[in-house]
Amino acid sequence: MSATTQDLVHFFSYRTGVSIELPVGFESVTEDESSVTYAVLDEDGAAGPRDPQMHLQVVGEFEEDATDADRTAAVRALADGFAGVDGELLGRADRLVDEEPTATVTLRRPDADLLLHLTAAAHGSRLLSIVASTSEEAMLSSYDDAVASIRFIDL
Amino acid sequence: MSGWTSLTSADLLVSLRVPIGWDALAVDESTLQLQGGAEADDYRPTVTLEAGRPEESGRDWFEAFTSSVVPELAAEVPGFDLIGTSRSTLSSRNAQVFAVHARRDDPAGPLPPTSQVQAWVWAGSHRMLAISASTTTEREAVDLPVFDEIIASIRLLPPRPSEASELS
Repeated sequence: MSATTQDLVHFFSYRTGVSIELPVGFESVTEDESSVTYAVLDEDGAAGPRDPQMHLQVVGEFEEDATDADRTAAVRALADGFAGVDGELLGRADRLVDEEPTATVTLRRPDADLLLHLTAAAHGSRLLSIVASTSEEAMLSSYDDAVASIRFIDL
Repeated sequence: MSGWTSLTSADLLVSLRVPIGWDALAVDESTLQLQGGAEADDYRPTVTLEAGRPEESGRDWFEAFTSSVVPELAAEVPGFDLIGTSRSTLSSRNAQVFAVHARRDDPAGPLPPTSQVQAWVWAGSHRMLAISASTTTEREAVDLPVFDEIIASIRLLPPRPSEASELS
């Protein structure tokens, strides 16, 4: 059964231009000039390395004359880099989200029992990386849903 | 939601999804009007969103407001015929939604029978949206679910950082 809005909490960052819905429990932890982090905090109000967390960052800017093909190529190149991260590759999905190109790589880190859900996306002049991690396999589908929920907004 | 597209109002600080082909018109700084594609009879379903503030602070006011809505509509709107009411919660800022589905058929009036959704989104003591959606009763089965989907897709965007710092 898909999540209802009551199960989800919406975040928007003017820095990244990303509107996203995450499972209830996530909070906005940090935000700076080019990135924002959402995480499920533990009882001490901190996010440990194995706690669910998602970091969205503007990692590049496109030139004004960049074409859709340029932006799609940049997304694929960033995702190729994700796929080269040390670990067992679980999957890769290239898809349009909110009519923009994205590519998601999932993998299991060998050393820390940690699952990574890594997405590259292009929106307007921005190239974005969305790095989510968890120790629970069930969270990967929640991260898929979160990425699918993205609306890219320029204000 | 295939066949739908995202739309953002920078004035209302609202993002929502509408069927592809719908038009959006900023009526003024606090009002956005959406219109669906015309059918053979040239009628276009319309959804109007108006941003404002609750008349009073606190959730109790909204609960009292929602309790009074249907009796007031029944008393004031000629030909008012209640279909039902619903409550839901948006993912943004725990915003509460109260919606009234109704028909309006006043044989003495100038309008054809219409089916409507009127909804109010309460996002705390300082922010509220009033939504009014209307179509012909002939198209009710098609358009009312679309209205519901548009309302459910609403995301409230936070104030711009410069405005937020001015408020604090």
